[in-house]
Amino acid sequence: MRRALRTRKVKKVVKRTPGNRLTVHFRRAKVDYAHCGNCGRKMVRARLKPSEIRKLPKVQRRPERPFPELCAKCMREKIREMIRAVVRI
Amino acid sequence: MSVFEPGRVCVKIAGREAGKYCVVLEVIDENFVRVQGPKVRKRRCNIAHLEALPEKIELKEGTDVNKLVLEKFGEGIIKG
Repeated sequence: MRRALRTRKVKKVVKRTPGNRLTVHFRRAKVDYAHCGNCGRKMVRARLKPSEIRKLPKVQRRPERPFPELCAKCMREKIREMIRAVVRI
Repeated sequence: MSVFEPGRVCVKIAGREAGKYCVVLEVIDENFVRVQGPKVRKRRCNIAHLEALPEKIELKEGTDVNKLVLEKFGEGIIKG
């Protein structure tokens, strides 16, 4: 791995080589969770690289409900607000 | 008494039908009702996933719920 990419986020693994030497190998950094665009809470989604997500069918990339960028809680709150804006009691 | 009584117009707030208008057809138990709407298929629904509106429509035999809601309210509060 390139030196500039060897940050603390990258996992280090000590391996014994066939020549009986200990070397440090670097694992690629794991992709971060998807987060809610409103509250920042973690959302349930596959932790895949963007290039792998692009290969998935569209329904597996994001939730099929309105406001896929929000978590379910924030989406419900948003729809309630929209209802309140229309309905005046 | 619950606001979710037959004829009550609601908006679904969960799942792929979130933001769509529907009408309560019957009360199944304290948690579940049967709903139907122009973009909501006839199904059992948890009342935690519904937001009630002040409006009610009269349910008679042979009333086309989908058509009534579509004329009075539209498909949903969110387009598409």
